[in-house]
Amino acid sequence: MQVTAENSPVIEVKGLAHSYLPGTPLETVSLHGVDLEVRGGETVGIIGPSGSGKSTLLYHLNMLMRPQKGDVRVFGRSLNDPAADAGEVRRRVGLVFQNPENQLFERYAGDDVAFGPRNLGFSPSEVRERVRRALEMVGFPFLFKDRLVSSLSTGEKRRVAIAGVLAMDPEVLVLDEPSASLDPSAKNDFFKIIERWKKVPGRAVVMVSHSMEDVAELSDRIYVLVKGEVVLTGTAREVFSHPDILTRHGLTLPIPALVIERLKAEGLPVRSGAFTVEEAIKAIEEIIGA
Amino acid sequence: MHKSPEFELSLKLSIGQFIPGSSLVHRLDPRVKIIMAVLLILSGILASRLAAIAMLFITVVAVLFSIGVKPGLAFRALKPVIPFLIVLAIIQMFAIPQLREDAAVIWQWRWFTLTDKSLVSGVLLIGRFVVIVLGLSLFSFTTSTNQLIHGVEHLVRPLGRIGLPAHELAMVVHISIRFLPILVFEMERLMMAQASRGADFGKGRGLKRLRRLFPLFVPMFIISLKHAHAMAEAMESRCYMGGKERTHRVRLKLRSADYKAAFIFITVVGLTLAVNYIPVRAIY
Amino acid sequence: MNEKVRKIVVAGVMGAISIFLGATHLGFIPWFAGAALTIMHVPVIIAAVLEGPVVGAVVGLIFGAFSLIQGAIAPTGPADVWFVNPLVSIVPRLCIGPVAWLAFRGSKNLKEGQIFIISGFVGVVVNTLIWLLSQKYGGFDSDIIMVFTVGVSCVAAASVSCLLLFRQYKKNSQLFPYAVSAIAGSVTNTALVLTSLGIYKFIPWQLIGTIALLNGLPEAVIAAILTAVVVATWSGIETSRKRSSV
Repeated sequence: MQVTAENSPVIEVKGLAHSYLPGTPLETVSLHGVDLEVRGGETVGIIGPSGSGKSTLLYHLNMLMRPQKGDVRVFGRSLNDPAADAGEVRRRVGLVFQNPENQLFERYAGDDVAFGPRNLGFSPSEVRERVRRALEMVGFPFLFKDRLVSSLSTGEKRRVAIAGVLAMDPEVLVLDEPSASLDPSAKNDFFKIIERWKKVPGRAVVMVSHSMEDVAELSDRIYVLVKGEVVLTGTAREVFSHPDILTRHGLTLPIPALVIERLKAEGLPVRSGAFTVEEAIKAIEEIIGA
Repeated sequence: MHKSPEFELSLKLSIGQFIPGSSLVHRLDPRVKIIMAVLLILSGILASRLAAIAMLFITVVAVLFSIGVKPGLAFRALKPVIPFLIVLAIIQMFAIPQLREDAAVIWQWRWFTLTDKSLVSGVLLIGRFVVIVLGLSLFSFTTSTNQLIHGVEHLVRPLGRIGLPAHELAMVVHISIRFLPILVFEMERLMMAQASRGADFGKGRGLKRLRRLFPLFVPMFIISLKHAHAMAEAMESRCYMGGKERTHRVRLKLRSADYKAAFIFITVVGLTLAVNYIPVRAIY
Repeated sequence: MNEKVRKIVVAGVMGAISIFLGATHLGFIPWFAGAALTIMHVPVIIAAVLEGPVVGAVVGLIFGAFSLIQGAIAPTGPADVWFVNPLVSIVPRLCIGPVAWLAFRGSKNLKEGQIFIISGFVGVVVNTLIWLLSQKYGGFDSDIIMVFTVGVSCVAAASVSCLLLFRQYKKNSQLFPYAVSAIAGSVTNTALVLTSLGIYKFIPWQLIGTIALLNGLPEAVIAAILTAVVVATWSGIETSRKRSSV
């Protein structure tokens, strides 16, 4: 497995532009020249209101869409290059769709997880090993492979779907609204799985989410995408210290930050700049003197 | 340079095209339009004389020009089928033996015999098809999906009084039409999700191809059935109980323009059928 | 009430699937020499076995109506020209659902040998009917009609033997009725559509027999497989292979 050096860009997007139905009277521009970078070892969050082009951007990262204008480089190789191999890109960049439990089609869980590795042409014993590892990564024992998919809960189905992507052994995991319709404990379990996966050096995560709190918790860097353009980018701390820009585009700060701001407005000498629950707790504890 | 076109399903799914406008036909009550479309198809099928088809053809083309839409659009739909139409017409003209009995031979070469009857039947075949296609295109240009649904629902209501499940049927059609865009969206996403896992839907033939398509087709049914059950629960929890005593928010009212248009159209159809059936030998 | 609402919605949704498969051409599975096997009748069959004959008939109506409209508004081939006639496009499709349902209920309690005999019998009855019809409308030599009837009975008998084959293979009696219903529904579609094409003299009868065999048989087989897989996944029916193949 190719290990990418920490902090070298695994994905580079430069000037990416895209419109649906180009050249027709119904043409809609979805991306206006987007620049984005993902480096090994980091988690990049992409936030933005509905219709901002987030999903379209993701589809370019694993060659589901080829750039109409601009360039996308994955592991140094440009996707505009006619020799670029979609199969190879999709193996190294694993895209987990929204509500991925909808894509399960096999009767038994193990078969669905094996779909990806089998498409890659691995031998039955290699497939078996990958399925075992993938199931374990999402918290299931290997015997889970014989469970009927129709007997699983939504949360379990989602974990099976994610295992299906992990079984292909990607180096970058791209997640579209990963916590959609998950209850808080399922969400927590899910993020633990991602964190555990990311421990291997060189792996990176790209996450699109509506939830400011999730993005605040997990992202090293954030891109704010509005109407197909990046209006703000930087580390999480940098991005959330511009509440004016965020609110201008219909976005809010994460709830912990809002709580701190509210406390400040009431006159309390609480330090700002906290935007995760932990930091907010710390800031409040400081002034309580606990 | 271009995105993979195989994922853009919504492009392929244009069943006729509603083109907004303010012509007389656009503003007609959808029930009237539906009945006219049905009558047109019926008279097209029944027409067995050239004069009758010619009358229908002229009527349809005249209306086509009056709605403010480029008539070329309707004719463009016919283009891909013209070769087939010609072949089929030729088969009609030469291969059907009955058309050679008591008929005047127009042209003969070796074993190809063209009689007046068979020539008429060939032209009729083409004419019939053209009339129906143009008529339906005309209908789709001037009627939006909403209007269509309301129209069908209203028309079908009286059938409910004689015991047929008319409202339920209209509801089914309504749901189908409304569910279609949801289905397209889910399927596009599904295709991309499975392609991201290395699925290749383009290879193979017959059974092998079907197996490759299971990752598409199986979820297609499952997701749809799930949506259906959720929708049913939602409808039930809002006290939907089927059709009998339902009242309606949108009530279609016939206006004078509708009566006039209906009258004119029925006259045309009547004349057409008369021309078709009156026993005067001279009319082809 | 509960049942009724569900039936309405399932009918609507299955109708949408049939339209979708037809409009995007995903429902055309390429076969040999440019021909394709279609699966737009499979939603009709699935609707019938899950919700009953009336729902099956309604979805069949939607399927037929759509093939008529598609033939008229966006024609791409000779079949579209023929389908503009409702007796070719709609009437045969109304029958798919009820026949599939009957076959489903009927085969639940029967053993393979009996299925074989019954389908042979059904084949003969259908053939006789078609022959009588053709005497009334065809006026062609009866030998040619015989070719068609032979075609239909071949489809019926052969497809059931295929069934026997995968019955052996799958060793699961729960899915068997679904496969039988799909074969019955698919054969109904093929037979009735081709018959109406023959009555209208769009295709000479000799050709119809060949098409029935070459196209009808494989279509019935893939309809059966698709129906069985979908129903098994939806209802959680276990197959003979009680575990993952990993």
